[in-house]
Amino acid sequence: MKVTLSTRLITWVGIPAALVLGFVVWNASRRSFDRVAAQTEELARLMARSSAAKIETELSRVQKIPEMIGRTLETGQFDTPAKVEDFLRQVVEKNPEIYGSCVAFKPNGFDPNVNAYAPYFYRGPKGPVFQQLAKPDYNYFQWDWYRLPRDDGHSVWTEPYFDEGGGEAIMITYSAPFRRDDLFWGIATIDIAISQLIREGQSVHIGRGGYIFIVSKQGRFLTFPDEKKIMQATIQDANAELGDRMRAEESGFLRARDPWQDRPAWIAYAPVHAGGLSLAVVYPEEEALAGARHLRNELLTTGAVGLLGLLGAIFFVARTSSRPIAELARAAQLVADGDLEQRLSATAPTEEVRNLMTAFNKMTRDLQMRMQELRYTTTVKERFEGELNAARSIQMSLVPKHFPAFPGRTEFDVHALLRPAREIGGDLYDFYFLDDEWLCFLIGDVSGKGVPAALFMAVTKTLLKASSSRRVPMAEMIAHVNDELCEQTDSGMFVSLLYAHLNTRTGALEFCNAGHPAPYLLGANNTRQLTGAKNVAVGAMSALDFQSTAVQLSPGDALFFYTDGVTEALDRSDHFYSCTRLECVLHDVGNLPVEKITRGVVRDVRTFCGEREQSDDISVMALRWVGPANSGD
Amino acid sequence: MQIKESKQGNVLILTVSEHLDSATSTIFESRLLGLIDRGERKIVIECGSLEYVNSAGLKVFLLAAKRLEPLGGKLVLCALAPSVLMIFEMIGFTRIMKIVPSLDDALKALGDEAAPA
Repeated sequence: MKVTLSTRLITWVGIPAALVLGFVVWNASRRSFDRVAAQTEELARLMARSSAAKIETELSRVQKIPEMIGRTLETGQFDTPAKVEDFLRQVVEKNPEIYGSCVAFKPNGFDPNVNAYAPYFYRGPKGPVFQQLAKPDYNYFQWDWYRLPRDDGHSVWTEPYFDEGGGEAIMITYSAPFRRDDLFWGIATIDIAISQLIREGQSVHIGRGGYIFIVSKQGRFLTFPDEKKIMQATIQDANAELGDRMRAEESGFLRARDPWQDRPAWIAYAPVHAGGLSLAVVYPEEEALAGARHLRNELLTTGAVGLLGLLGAIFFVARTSSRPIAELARAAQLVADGDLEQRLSATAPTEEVRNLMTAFNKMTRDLQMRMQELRYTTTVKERFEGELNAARSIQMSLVPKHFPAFPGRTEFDVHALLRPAREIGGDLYDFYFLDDEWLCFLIGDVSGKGVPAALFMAVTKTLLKASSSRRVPMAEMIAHVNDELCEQTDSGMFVSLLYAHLNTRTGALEFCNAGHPAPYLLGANNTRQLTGAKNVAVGAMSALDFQSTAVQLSPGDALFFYTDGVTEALDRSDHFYSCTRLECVLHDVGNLPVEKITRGVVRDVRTFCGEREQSDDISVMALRWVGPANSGD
Repeated sequence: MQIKESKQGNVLILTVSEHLDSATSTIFESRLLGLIDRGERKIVIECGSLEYVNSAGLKVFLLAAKRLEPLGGKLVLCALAPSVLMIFEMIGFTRIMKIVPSLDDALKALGDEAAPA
């Protein structure tokens, strides 16, 4: 995978930031979820308690009514049925919260002649309706609402019941005993419709899916969304755990199955002590958690949007940062390919890249200038080298290179080679006839290298050729040339020179060695150096005397002249070619034709040097005096 | 090539070692001529550890000697190895340059010259 700035940024900024952000959002949503859930739970508890309290309050208020009726009756002022009934009617009329009220006297209690007397008023559609409960088929003395308070001696709430005859509603009755002469005299009751209690406080339904229900002491549903269950079913059947707790008049909270529908629900319950009721607030869990879920979703959405924004920002930064870099890379590639005209507009968004671009532009500009300079320098150098090459070819053209040099002359053979070093040097050789008999030949080596040496060589050669003659003794002639050269130079340059005259008819040889390596005489039987008189190299110091040496050659004798470029050639290990090796080669090739001698020596030197570069000019000359020409010539 | 420089009285002693050839002679030349330009007049070149000299190197000795001569100075070479001395002999410089066997001889030669001057 290519590691781009984007991938790096995403890897090292985006992913860690996403992880942190994700953790923060997850943690925050979890905590807020828990908190909202806890709040919802608390709310449910509160609602259960407050609803229970309201009902309790309501019941407590209406509890006073039968007690008030009892105390009123205890005064004895209502001594006729009409008075009692009128009073009772007024009670029902003045207390809209009660459904009905009854006063039930003990047997023969109200009138010794009347066994049972129990006037009852209930709320009809057009006002209070009277009903005499003392009927042959209804022996009220047997009913709980009468019996329990009579036996216990205090007021009681009876178990709710469905009133079929009058209210067509679930009623709960509060019965309070009253006395006459400190003896039980009768029971005063009020009836309250359970639905009214709820309506007073809270509607049955809470929110969208929540509801309140009330159960009796025995656990029967008094209010319930499913009306079929009212009075018919018990909470124990629907939810045993909840039923136990509610019947124990506990207050609390439970996450359990909804007793109405098959779904998880949050249930807060609280007892209504008056009436022995218990109330529960039920929230479907889904709804209870809806707020928390909503909050969590909001948080997650915010987190996701934030993350997307972050990634977008990273992409933006990466793109805007990498685009100039990519442009830079492209320009650098173009520059590398030789297009030095490349310039970048330094408009990157970041300072660093701007600096880089400025530096790049400067680099390219400088490079372009350097290239121009280099081109110029190269041109100059090429011209210079061209001139040097020209100088070298001029130098080389100064020495004779066409062989056989004297095709018509059979008395002798001559061959010479000059292998110039890479740098222009100062070797020279020459041969020419002074007259019909005398051949002049010479070899020399100017000290130093370069154009000065080459010029000095040319001057020497010209001077020698101009001065060569058999009319002047050789030593004097060389002394003259020496003085001439000394006059022309104060550079310390000098020429080691071997200058010789050969009489091609007689084989008489005269030579002058001015600081040059001694030549070899290659005779038929032996090879020896011609030492002769030694002189100082020409051009070193003026006003010197020179001496020449005379030698008589035998027919077939060969002379081998060379410059120190031969014996001082170096191999890779810095060893000199040396005179010893030269002598060996000469021993091998000495009797061969002159060209074979020169070429043999040069080839052997080259073999010796191997890959080592030739550092000095190598010049060799071989001359064989064959013998006098035939008389016929 | 290595060049060491020392001074004994008014005599400058240059010790040249290893090879003095075309490649190194230019360095030696500028060094030696520079010293003459700075006013050195009595110069000994100690060649005890000089292993090889070619014509380019010889040119430097000759040039220095020639420069010193009109200035009243003198160049003395000493302690040449036989192989090096042979090169000097071959080129004929033993005849035109002052070459002595040892440094003492060189100092003596310069002292003798210097006394009357």
